[in-house]
Amino acid sequence: MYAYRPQRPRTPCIGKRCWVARVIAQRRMLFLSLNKERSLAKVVLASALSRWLPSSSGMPTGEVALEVAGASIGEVLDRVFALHPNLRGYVVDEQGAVRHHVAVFVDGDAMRDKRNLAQPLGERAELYVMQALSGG
Amino acid sequence: MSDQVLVSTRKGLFSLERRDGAWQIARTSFLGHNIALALADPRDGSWYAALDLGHFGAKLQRSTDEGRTWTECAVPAYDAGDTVITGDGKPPQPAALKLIWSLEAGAASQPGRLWAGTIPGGLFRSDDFGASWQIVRSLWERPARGEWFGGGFDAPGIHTICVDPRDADCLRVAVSTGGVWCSVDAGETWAQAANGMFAEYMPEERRHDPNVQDVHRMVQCRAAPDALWAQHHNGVFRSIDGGNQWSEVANVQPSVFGFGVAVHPRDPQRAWFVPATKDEKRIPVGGKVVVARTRDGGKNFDVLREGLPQQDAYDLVYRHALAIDAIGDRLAFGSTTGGLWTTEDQGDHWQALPARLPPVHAVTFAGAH
Repeated sequence: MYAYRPQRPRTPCIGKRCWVARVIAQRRMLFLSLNKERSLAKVVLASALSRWLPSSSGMPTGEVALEVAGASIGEVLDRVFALHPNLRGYVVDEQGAVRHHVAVFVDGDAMRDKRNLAQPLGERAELYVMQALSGG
Repeated sequence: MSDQVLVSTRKGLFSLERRDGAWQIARTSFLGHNIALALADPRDGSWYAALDLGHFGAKLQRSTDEGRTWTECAVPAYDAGDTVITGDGKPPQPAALKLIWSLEAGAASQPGRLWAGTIPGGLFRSDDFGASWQIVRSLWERPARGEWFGGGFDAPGIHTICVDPRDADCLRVAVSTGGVWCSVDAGETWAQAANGMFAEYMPEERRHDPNVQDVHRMVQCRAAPDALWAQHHNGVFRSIDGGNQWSEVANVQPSVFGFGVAVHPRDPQRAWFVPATKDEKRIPVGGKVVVARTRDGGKNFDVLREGLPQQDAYDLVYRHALAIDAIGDRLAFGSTTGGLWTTEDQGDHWQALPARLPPVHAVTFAGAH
């Protein structure tokens, strides 16, 4: 399923409000693992990335949002790459790590270890995949 | 005579065409994106562009209509477990493609054959126009590779691939920093081919080690393929026996330091360099951009400056940014400040392209050969 919606710019989560949100998210993750339930995650591709999708894919330009199932960052990204195989090499290197100058935010927080794509996701997690400004 | 030039820059690929006696920008591709180099395949007229997307990695695109449309190809990829080990003390790292640093076509009898040299040091081969790539394991797994190190980059890289016009299975590759390597069996086996070079930047006991020679760029004379020229980190070297032995060319004027080199396609004694103040500074000598040309194998040099900036000029010409066409009268070079100069008479007179391009990474001729 694809959706194109104008996206509000994302900023990393900070402060007490975010801590509370993280606790809630962690409890949701525990509930899901206990129930072995998979929910859809929303993946937003920044326009700097989505512009490299083949024009034949019919995707609009600008930020692109998709909804895919997956319990971890790796599962979700694999499903995105199954839909758009050429995207894999833009996001991860051949050793399977997220590229040095690509940033992946999960519910507003940067993914903890770019080499560990097994990082679990909470229910209805939102991933934002963008070019890191460290790359210019 | 080639009537097209592909200029790979920090912000796009510019294709130039010669019209009414002057070079003009005919088309831009990948505007805004970093292009490492381009290849015009003389076998079928297709163009390849190696992109260096800082965020998303190295990419490769192919055009069969002179840049009007492009199709993405596969890129060389290292296997899990491949490791970059260098001889300058850096910790080992998992190998991942950083840059496509050289790209050459195979023989006319090998349609689809491409060779790609990369940072961090692997050589790759394709037999399907870049749809898939295989690493040349015989070179990657040489123990000597563990002594290579980066020249201007953290990891070593293969910046030159010379496919012998007499025998497409004979390859010579140059590594910065890792010397010169030769294969006579399409990459099954390799031998070091940098004897005679020396490295002033190394401790005394290692200076003549072929494996630590920082060759910036190497070229092979098409009509006399045993003649090779190399611009090295601390000077110019020449071989007349296919790379078995190199000798120093010490009297390049006004400096022996530089990155690019070109050899005449039919006259092995004729070569061009773009000198810069050595080593730590890397700027034109005295603020003057000049080209050094020899017509007698390096015994004497002409310093060519007609039409080139001679005051307050700080242009540097990178290793892939000097090119000569298949006839040998036309040359072109591009600089770090976006200057692009061409000549119709082997460098006696130069003309500046009336454009301020982005920094130029590579220049190559396309079109008629």
